[in-house]
Amino acid sequence: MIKQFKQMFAAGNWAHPARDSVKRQLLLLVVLFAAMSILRPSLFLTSSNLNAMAYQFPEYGLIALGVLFAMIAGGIDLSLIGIANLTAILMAKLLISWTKEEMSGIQNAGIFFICFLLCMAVGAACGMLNGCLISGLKIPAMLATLGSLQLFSGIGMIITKGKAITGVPETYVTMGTGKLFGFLPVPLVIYIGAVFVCHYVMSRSTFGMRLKLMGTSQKAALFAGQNNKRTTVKAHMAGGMLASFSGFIMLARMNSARPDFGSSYTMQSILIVVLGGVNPAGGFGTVKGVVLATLILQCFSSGLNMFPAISPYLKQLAWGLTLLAVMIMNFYSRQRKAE
Amino acid sequence: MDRVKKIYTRNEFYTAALILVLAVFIELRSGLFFTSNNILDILRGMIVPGMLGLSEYIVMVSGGCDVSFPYSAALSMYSTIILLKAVNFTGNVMIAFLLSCLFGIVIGMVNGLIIMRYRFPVLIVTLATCSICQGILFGILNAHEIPVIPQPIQNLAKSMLIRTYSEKAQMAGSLPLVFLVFFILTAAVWFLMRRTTIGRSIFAVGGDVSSAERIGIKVNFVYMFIYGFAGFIAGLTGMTRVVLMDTCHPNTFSGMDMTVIAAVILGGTKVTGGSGSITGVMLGTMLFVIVNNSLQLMGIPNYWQKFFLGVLIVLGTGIAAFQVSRKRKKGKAG
Repeated sequence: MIKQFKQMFAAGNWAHPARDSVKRQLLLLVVLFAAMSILRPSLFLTSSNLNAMAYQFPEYGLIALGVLFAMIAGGIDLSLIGIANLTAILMAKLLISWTKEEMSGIQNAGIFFICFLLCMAVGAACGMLNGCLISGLKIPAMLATLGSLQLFSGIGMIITKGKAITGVPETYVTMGTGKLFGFLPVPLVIYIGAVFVCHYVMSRSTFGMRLKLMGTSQKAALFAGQNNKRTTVKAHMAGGMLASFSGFIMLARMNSARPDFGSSYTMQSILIVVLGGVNPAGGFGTVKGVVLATLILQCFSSGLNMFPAISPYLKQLAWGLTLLAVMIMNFYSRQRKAE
Repeated sequence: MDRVKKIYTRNEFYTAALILVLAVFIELRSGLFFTSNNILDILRGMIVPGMLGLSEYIVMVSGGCDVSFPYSAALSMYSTIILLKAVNFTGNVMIAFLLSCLFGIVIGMVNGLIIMRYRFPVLIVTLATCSICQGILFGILNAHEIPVIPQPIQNLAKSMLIRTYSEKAQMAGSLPLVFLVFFILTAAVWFLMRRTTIGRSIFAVGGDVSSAERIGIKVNFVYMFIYGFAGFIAGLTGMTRVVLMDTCHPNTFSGMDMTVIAAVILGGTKVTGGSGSITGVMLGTMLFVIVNNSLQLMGIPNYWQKFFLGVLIVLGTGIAAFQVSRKRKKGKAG
């Protein structure tokens, strides 16, 4: 395990042509970070800002990882924010109805754990629904997930009757927003854990290999004897579970659950994944790239917030333009590589 | 007998049947469905989703899925209104429509250029364009509601095509003059798709791009045309919305992308492209308008709407996909 970790950063691995995009991203991240630090040193480099950033990006970072799985499989997943909201709502409801003030620490922990498992199962089930719609009914991924986004948000709205659910137990909130070992925010820890698991699954497991093969060419994978349906369903289940973790984090941070939160995360996660070097047609992409892209976006976002003259809507303009620009750049770099 | 059998296999039949069932159901429950004012209400409600549905229909037949039309329409409409207000416009209302269509075409061309040159997935490109339009609208133009619109548009807003009074419901009904815009556009799109070469080319491109290229279709031109025309329709719809509501609200189209896409899919347009009919789009839009109206009539709370929308999308695409797989199995057996 340690050996593989070391291998990730070994010098030889960076010379591979596919790592070029990662080098480019790392450079961009460093430049952006430096630029923001120079332009607004009093606001950007403070521990409170870095803290705030470390709390924010795991939310959409996890969703971006979910989209990564779906995109490498050759499709896309737009419903992850709906799954995240739904699991947050369910978690809130379960916690509120099952915990009582007088319970001891151990009992609380036990109930939290059970609720976690249940909500993760719900996330996986939602992902399974996506996978079945795409592989079983052969509905194109973007439409299936557009529809299921409405479905999951709709179920969330029906449960909450359009309002927000508040009143989650204090212990959950402190657990979710606290710090491990005094300086690592819990959301960040969850994110790092997810990154390692995803990297391992993508690069070392059979499932990851099958995913990439299927994304490159469905027919070839079929003729090689793979079960495409199972791979698709698994990929979307993974996305659903990641989204449910994002839901847990959101619930803890906001101390409430709403059915329509984070509607901009959909667009942001696609931007992150494309920025991270994933080919929207499927088959190519790395977890490293997505993580770097998440960090880049977070720096950019926090940095823009420090210029009050720039309205938040201009951020949307910037995202849209960046998405197009990055896709065009990737297009040309892929052409050059093919020559 | 063959002809009757053929009707059963078409998606539009099921949508029409569903509409009939709903209509009868609502009529039995409230007795107010087949009144003249309700029918005019439904027709009026169909104008904006119908026009946007036509735009989405053209894009979907070519194999793509556009989600930028709500904010592209909003941007065209808003830019036109602020421009007209700045010059204190009192001329012909057609100029307002023309301006809005021009803005729409420009925005559509942006989509078209990128898709034509780089052939990226249409959904992602239009997601980006939607963000850009939103950013321009709210970030640069600082859009907000404009309650007082130029006089010529106000005059048009008050002109009605049909006025009726229903004895049963004791309510007056009316159909605005701009319904003609919708009607003419539908006829034009039908003619375009069914009777012109460019229409056939759009179907061909939707079927398979490389095959279309090989038989000599200028696919690049087709893409530019599709998105330019879609932009034109978006601009037209924006101005129509202003006339219908007698005010200009930049957020008026938000959330409409899903309903329109769902309506077009339910109308039998294949999501992979290559087939679909105007009748289907109209039926799908009608179904949605009726469902929306009747949900409110039956007292089902607002927040169930998204859920129904999702169910309808999943059902619609599911049925279409199921039919495709059935046809494939039949082909293999036969």
